[in-house]
Amino acid sequence: MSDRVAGYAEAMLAVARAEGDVEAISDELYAVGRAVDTNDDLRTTLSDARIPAERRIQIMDDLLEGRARQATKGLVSMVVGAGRGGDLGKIATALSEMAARSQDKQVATVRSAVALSDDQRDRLTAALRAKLGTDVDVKVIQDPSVVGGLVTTVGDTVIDGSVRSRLSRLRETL
Amino acid sequence: MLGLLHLIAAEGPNGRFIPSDVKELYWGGAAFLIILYFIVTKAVPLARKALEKGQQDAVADATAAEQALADAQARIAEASAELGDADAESERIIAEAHEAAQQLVNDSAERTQQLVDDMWARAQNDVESMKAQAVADIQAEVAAQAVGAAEEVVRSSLDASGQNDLIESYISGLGASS
Repeated sequence: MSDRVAGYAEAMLAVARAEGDVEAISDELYAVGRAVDTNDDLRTTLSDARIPAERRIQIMDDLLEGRARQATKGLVSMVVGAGRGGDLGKIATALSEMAARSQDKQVATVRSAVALSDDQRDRLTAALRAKLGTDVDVKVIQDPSVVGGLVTTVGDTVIDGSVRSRLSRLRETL
Repeated sequence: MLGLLHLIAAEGPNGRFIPSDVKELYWGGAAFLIILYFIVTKAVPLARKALEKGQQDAVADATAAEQALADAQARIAEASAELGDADAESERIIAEAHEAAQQLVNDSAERTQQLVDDMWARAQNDVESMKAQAVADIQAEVAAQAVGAAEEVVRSSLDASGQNDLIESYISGLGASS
């Protein structure tokens, strides 16, 4: 993690704390960061200095309209306006890790083909806490390539229960 | 002698056999004797010396010629011997050349055979590798097709209920393994 990424993450975490909704803002920023990381066109557009900052900010505002809190949109606009839109994924990941560490937690990235209900998310958090012996901050990412089931990554640990991995094992067996 | 001269001179036109005065005959005889004396005492020894020297020179020349002949014969013998040695050496060199050439031919044949054997072995290995690769490619292609078909079937059959079951199964599995 570079100093610049850490600096942006700390500043945004301070803003989220000031807003009193660290978990929700962190989740939304994490989702935005994942979207930027997995979409080359979007990442290139946000990093293109030839496009006016106002235009890049407008693009993100349009994408987040009705899907994120005002504070989240404001933080995203700040990063994009500063010309660091391409780093949104790294900054959001650093922010999530900092927020989790401040609460003695680890970030658990969960990839799923469909959204999890709040109940499933709570039970998954409890199950991961019991299995890993530490509190976790679950970040759910919708990823159609998973096909079905879940893939959880906590630090270097990967717990793969996806249909994708079963298909991969089947391919290797064949 | 003088009597004979007188007799001859008595038969000349002047009553003698010689046309001139008899004194000339005396002087001529004396001169002859003097000349004869010088010839005998001076010229003959000189001639003898010259003859002896000529003989000595001839002998020396003959000796030198004999020596030269002997040297020449010795050189001829030596040259003949050298020629004989040269012939033997040339025959030895030719024999060695033949032997080397034959060895070269034999080595070349062995190397060629080795090269052919190596190429044949490599070709067989390549064929085996290509066969194995082809089989592996076909297996991979079949596997990819089968997995692709299976994925399509799973995707089409995985409705919300199926997705929910998979998630619940995952959470239950985590709880069971903790």
